[in-house]
Amino acid sequence: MENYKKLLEKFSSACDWASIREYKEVTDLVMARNAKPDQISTGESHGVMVEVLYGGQISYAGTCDLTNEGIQKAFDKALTFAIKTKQNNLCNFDDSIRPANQGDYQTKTQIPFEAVSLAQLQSNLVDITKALKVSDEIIEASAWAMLTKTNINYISTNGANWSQEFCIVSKDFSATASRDNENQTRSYGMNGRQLGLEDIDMTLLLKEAKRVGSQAVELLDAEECPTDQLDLIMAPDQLYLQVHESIGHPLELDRILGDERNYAGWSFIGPDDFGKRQYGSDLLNVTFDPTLTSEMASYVFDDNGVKASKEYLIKDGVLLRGIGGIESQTRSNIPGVSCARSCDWNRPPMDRMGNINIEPGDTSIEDMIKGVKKGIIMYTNRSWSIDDYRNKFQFGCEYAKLIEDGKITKTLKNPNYRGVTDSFWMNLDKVGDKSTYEIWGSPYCGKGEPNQSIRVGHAIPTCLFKNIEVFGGA
Amino acid sequence: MENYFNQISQYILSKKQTEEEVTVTLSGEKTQFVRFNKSKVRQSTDVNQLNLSIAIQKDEKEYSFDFSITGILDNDQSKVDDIYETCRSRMLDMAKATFFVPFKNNGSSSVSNIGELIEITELTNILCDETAHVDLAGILTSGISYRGNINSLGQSHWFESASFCVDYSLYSAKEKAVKGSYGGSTFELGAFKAILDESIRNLKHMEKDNKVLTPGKYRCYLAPAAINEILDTFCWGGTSQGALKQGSSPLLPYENEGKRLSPHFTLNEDFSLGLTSQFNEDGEVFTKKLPIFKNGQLENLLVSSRTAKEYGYKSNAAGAEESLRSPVIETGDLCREDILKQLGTGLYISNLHYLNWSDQKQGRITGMTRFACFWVENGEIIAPIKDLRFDDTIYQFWGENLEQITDFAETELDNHTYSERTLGGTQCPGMLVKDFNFTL
Ligand SMILES: [Zn+2]
Repeated sequence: MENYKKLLEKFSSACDWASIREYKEVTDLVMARNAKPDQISTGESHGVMVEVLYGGQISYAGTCDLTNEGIQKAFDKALTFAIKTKQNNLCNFDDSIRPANQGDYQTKTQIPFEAVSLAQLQSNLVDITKALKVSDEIIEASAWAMLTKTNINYISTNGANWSQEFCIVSKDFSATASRDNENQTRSYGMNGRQLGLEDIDMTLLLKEAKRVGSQAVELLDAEECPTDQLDLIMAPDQLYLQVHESIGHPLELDRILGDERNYAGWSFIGPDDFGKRQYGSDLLNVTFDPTLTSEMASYVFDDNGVKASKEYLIKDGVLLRGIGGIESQTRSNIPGVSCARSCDWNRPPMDRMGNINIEPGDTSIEDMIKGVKKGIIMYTNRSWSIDDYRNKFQFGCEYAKLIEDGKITKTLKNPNYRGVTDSFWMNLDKVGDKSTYEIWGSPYCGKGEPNQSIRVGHAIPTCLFKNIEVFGGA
Repeated sequence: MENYFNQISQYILSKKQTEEEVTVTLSGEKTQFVRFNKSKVRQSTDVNQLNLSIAIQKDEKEYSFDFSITGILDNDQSKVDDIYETCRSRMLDMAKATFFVPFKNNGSSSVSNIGELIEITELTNILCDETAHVDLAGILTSGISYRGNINSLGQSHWFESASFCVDYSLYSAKEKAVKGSYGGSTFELGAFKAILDESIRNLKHMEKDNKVLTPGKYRCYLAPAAINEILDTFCWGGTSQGALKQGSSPLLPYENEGKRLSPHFTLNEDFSLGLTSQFNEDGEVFTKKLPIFKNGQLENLLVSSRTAKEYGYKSNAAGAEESLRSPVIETGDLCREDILKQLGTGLYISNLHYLNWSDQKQGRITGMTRFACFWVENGEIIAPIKDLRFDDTIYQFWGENLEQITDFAETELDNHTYSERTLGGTQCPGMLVKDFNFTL
């Protein structure tokens, strides 16, 4: 950091403000298939992003050349761009959008990544694929784990100086069962958490692998999901993606401001909706929560250096806040959260989801099922699609159960449902209690031009929705 | 850059011990990205990035390590020293690879498509000036991409390409939008203005009130950009021999039961497009042109060396993903002037959005209409439509419901930029399809 400090001292006379963000991320990917080891690989990305404020606009230049000359060159490029295109700035910022915060953050881990070799981790995954193969009808069983360690150091001309270290374990495993030209796949569900290797709890995972393998075979005998309007209970491993696509993305302030219109799209939510719009039934409470230990996108500072805190986006069904960092808040005058993030050293920060959670309610899963005359429980996402305003959606799941007169009666295959966000959340009828609450997260939320794939977290209880259009396979 | 890659590769190969074989790959770019909103600059990013990958094989074990380098030999040599040591020590207790494919010498090649790109600030100001009277959102990408591959058995490949692309959409006051793009190696103001003017004209067509259609089956013309979206989704697991054996492919009935798509449908992997390197990540060189479907008949799936080894096929030098890198759908005989007449009454769909397999094993894809899509009656455009969700199978819309294919095709550059600029692209014609299924 001393070296960066000296460089910034040099830069400061030529521009209104500047910062250096050093980003290093190391990812080990370990795989196993069909009771045998598969590939192991490691990737390391390391570089710096120089931000330069000049004439009201921030220009960025990222470089993997970490020498003083390399960073100087990046600064010169960013500054030159800012000077020469000054008349075409969209925004007119000053350095108040980059507060001078100091401090650090580190993922709390019990077992550090270094404690186990990649070969040992792979042998655990091999065991999981063995457990998945519950019968000869399993034709494919695979497992993977990804260990990611990210270090960010940030320093600016106005005194910001902070560091964050994230340790993230992502994993999934799945089994495909086959009979008479029909194939059915069941998986654990891709999940990422901020944890150490304690997340690879083999006692638990082997038990889960047996369940996943058995359910894949069970699907070969299952009935097709019916086409109907029914009560739908969503398990957290499906509902988290519903929240992601139909609450997270449409509330992003940069989308509402139109930045994203050429790629991911706009939003059915407008600037005037905040503070008054009934987004869902009054059971709906959605938070941005960067403080939940072990959730994928917990942090202390976003990549604009703004301190992050838990905030309600939707309270008792009413829309209060957008998912927008300090730049979007300044542009729109809409309350937001500290969520400006970038996925690597070579991309600028923009509004990202972070951890977007549904706060648990007070209904147990037993009571939820008891209250359903005819309905379906769906588990584990397998297909997702939504329009560019985030309204008309369709989701497919791997596995479902039929509920008749308050009891689970049958297993169903190829379950799907569709709806429109605008009215969907009004159908929320029951919110599961703490015992149904699970922490999920995806390493791959795509957005932005240039494109960025980033980690998001979703902590979600099981929920019941009334009157949903459900349907089966082709 | 080619020289630098040779230098650092030779240094790496010089460290190799006799029982080791090594492949060195480089992926890099010098790119400028400028993001626009309301025809102004929202964000600009200059990127200088170089990634090197060292893959080592020893005792039938394999491990690869991918890392950023600075481009300065002294610094990178000491980085390589560290990484090589890490690889060696980690490989000690690793298991032998299950389907071990030893590195080979797959020959040598060097392709350079470097033109003179216009200076980025100049181009940015031109774009802002020329579009000041409209509401443009989008991205300008300009720069050079590099790909290199050298191994210890004498293989050596290099590919570099300089290009720019303006990918944009225009919005009207009523939130109507059209999509456009202009790219290549030389920016010509006249050509860009012509494309922009056409977008502006199309946006005027959109000014009428939306026609709201009830879900159901409609006769449709799918323009090349819409077909490109479907092809993109199809490539995700659709052309993979491994996926077929592992039970996730939609093409099982085409391999096992002799089913056929429409006789109009011919799909090739065709590197004569020249948009991406013909060698894959292992330096294996794909044939110039391979038919996947010929007149509806499944001819070939993509087979990587690993899948070949595992299931006893012959590899056709596909990449590890076994997905098409340069697909071309062959044209038919529907000429541009006849599109509306042949469509008669139905939907003219210029773009599709957010496609996904809704049931991959059953060949079913869902997605949304987006941008300029119109309701057509008796060969005349009546009004833009309120967006619709489709959910239909490739067996239907590329099978018995495919009526005609246009006699022209459009090349779409792959302009994804996750981690780095993607190379490659597709060439797609438009298609006239009956009973295309809309559900929402
Ligand atoms: Zn997302």
